[in-house]
Amino acid sequence: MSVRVVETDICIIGSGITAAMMAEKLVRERNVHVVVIEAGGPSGTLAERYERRRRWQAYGETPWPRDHLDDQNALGTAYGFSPSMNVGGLAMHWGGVTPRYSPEDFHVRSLYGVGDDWPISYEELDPFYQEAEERIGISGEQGPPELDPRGKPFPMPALPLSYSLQQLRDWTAKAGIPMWSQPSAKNSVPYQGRAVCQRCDSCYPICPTGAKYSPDFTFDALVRDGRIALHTNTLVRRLHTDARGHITHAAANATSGPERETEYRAKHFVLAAGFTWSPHLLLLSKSSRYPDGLANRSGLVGKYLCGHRNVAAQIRLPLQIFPGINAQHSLVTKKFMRPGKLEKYLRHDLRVWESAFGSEPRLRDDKGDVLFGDAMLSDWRARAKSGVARVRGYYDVLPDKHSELTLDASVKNRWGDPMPNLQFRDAPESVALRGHSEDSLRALFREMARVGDGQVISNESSANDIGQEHPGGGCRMGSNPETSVVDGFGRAHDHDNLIIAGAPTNVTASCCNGTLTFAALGLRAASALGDQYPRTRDDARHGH
Amino acid sequence: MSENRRDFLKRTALAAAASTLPAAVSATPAGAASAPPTAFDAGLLSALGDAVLPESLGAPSRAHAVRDFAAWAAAYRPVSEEMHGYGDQEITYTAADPSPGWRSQLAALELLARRKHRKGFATITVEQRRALVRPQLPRGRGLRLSSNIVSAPHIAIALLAYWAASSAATDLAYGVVINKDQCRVLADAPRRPLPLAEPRGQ
Repeated sequence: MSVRVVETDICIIGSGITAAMMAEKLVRERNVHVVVIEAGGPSGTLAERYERRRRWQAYGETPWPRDHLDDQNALGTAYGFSPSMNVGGLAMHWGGVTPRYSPEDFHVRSLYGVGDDWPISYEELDPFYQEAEERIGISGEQGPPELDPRGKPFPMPALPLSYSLQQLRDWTAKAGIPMWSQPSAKNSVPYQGRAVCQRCDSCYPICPTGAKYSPDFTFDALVRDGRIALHTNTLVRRLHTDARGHITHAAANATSGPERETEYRAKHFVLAAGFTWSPHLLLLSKSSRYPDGLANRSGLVGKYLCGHRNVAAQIRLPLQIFPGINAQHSLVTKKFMRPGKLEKYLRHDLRVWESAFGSEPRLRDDKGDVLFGDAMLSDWRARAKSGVARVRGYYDVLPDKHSELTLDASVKNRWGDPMPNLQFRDAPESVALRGHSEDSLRALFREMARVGDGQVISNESSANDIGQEHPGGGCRMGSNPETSVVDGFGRAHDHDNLIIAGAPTNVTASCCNGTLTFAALGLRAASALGDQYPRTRDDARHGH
Repeated sequence: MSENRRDFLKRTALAAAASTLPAAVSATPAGAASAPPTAFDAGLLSALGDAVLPESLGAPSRAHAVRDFAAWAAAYRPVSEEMHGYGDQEITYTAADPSPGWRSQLAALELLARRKHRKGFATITVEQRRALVRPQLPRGRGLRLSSNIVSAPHIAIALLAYWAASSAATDLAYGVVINKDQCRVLADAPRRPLPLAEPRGQ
């Protein structure tokens, strides 16, 4: 079988949100040829989304059918992982929740004596957060500056607080907790040709109007304008090097249609395939020169997988809450992400949603009698009179070195490549702090209930040993090549033309959603990479 | 016990499974708007609807809800790929078509009515119908109507749960127009939802 050869300046492996941000920045600002490689297929058109949403609502059918490869999946404690492989990646069905990490996240060792510091600061990342917010389109409210520092305003006004959230904000204010509108990748006004949000309340898993950002919009525009080549249904299975450690080419196979091999030759390779498939590819690419895989001098490829857990509760309150006004939107505070000096380390975010918990329609009443007809409706009405708030705090979990991805030879894909096995493990300090963290959050919820003359009616914590939320890591960044895989710009310590971008480069996972940070890290990496290519005329004219 | 994030996301997906009556209406085959699809015995299903759905809805609204339920069931596709959302690496598929089982339960109610009352299920009183249905239902105190309609162990529960999951039912319960799960004007979100135009089911 002949091997197709594709030559380009920059080869981006993966087509998720980090790849979308980087590809757009590189081709809009630089004279550079970019090929983006995606293992899955196209993710469908905007026009299809209403019908897909309808089937999802009616029957629970996925709105993104066949968005994965049947023989390409992760094993182990993989909660937090999704097998999505299509154009746009997992960000085709993300919730569009886009908080920034807090300044403390980058210096937990220096400030609190736990975990590890990042090689970059919040201040260094701030312009790239801003750029990510502008490219994606984020609607947000400036929180109190001492809690929510940022260099420039959000690109769009905040999503308005619903009637329910306004009442809940008043309640949390009484408890001494300032809360504000959660920043979201949903348009509060028309933005970049996309519609304003219509509260369809199906952001996760599908926005029918396109008001929520998804990376297919970026790729569609770049392909339409002839700015990139997007190669779908193509799985990169190995990276190859020359004797100097320079990546020479990526070897790929077609994942659908006739068997076909492609060799991608490029000046630079960007690995933007998420926290699972990025280290997986590096480990698969072992050779006699690199018996432990590429970029792995430190032995840390696949290590320090990071994430966080949550503690949640439902609190009944004497408020009139109407669940369903805009149920996927929430209040947020960073008060507890910036706690000042601590005797025992605990940082967490806090969110509040409207909830229907405990007010749902019932088949039998408290005595066990069947509720038919108007009796059922009366029972429902009676229980809907008081309001319920859903509250949740993600708390920071520090990763153990052996929180890791390994190759599992017991399960292989069609080409015989072992699949990744994920095992999330807390660092000993986080193991010791877990009880304190969860007890503290429950005490906070009880106090919030007390202040509101309410009652905690349900408690929940993340389950043990299934994985962690908003995961990252596996190729963590650092200044020392002995203790990290890439530098603060995502450049692999061991290879002069390999950039690893986004989630895998996280040192820790903070205590909130990571997507915006992944995108900002990708843009910072793209900025450094772009410096090696000439500016486009437009970009130079704008004085960049 | 409360729910974790995974359960919440699953529940909201399933809660939405029957939350849009207009969507279900659109699943009704063309020309069938005034009669339910033939998957169920129309008379029996209508009689069951009159027994379990709120009386205060009125006969036309109950008939509408019954038609929507039948249309929803008729458009069900077993073994369709389900949402593998956040945190779920496993690819799962929708369950077997529940309609055959529900049809046989409906037929059994008819047989039971004839055995006990020497009349068809549709011709006995609403109270008599309820008395026949009650023993078929799971026992327990404070049992919620599961929003997972497909797994309903009895067609009476499926029909009731389908209606209760609708946007219209939620509005009735809260006495205001929320229109949950409908696409709506963003700028209206901060306003208190308007009261229902006319008191129904008070």
